[in-house]
Amino acid sequence: MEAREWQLDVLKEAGTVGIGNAAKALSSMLCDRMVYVSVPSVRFVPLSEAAWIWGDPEAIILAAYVPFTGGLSGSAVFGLPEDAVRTFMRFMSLAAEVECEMYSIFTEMANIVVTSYLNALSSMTGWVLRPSVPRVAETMAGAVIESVLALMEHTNDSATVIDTTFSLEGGHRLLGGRLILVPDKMSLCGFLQAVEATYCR
Amino acid sequence: MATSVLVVDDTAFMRLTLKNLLTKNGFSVVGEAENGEDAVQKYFELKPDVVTMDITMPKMDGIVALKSILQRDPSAKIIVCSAMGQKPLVIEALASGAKDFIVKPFQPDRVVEALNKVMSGGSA
Ligand SMILES: [Mg+2]
Repeated sequence: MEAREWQLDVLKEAGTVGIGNAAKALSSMLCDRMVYVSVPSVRFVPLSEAAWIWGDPEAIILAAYVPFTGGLSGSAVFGLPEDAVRTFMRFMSLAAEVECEMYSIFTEMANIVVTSYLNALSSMTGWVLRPSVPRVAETMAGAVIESVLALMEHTNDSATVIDTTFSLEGGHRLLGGRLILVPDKMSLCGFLQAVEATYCR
Repeated sequence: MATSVLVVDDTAFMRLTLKNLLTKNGFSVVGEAENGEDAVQKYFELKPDVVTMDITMPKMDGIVALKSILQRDPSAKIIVCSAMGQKPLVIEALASGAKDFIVKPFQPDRVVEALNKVMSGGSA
């Protein structure tokens, strides 16, 4: 296998383990409703195309931007359409008795989902990965991902994006969102080596 | 008298969730803090029997706050309640004196059990 192909494979595996753990956490927050996840896609995305990662760049979503540090650093973006957040709130066992602002609930949901994803990457490497407090906004999907990539260090003209989607049945339709991980280029190499050391012994 | 609890978490939603859960189970939530600095200050102001401590918070994270409280009051009973269930971090928290480590999302029973256990003198 070529080096580049091998790297993509490792990142795909990381994305699979990450989204699996994130979905488990989300399911548990939503009274064990079944959460379906996609096979992650790993891509090198030119900054000029960043706005289209989400599909429709003008779709309005609630987005949480979560930079993280540790052996692997980078940014995660967790996004959901507002109506999905409202439905999820109804599904939450505890929320039924908790009168709380949607933003606050979404912030904690993002914290738990992204951190669970990072927990899985941590177990692949033995590293502690520290998420920061989610920054939440209601915004256009294209704008959020574009600004996140623009903020990142060492992106030059493209970024490695591990893109995963999840969905669950809400009422009579499928509600879904996305969790995107954009690792800093400088930290990727060490991460790949650490995964190799843990997995391929 | 009911066990007094200081609930520390940066999101209002999680503070309210914990407060409702604890109150329903006979605990008395005497204070809330939304970051580590606030937690340290409120701990010495309120002297609660138990603290539930989040980790990912602005200004000062929960691990720093936990160490800071325990340094001044080694008898403090702190239960970490965080999504960050990463092994090295759990070990660090327990080695630093946390009585238990609850990973979010939690089952309500798990939280109540942890508090009861800490109050009866056990630890994780
Ligand atoms: Mg938090």
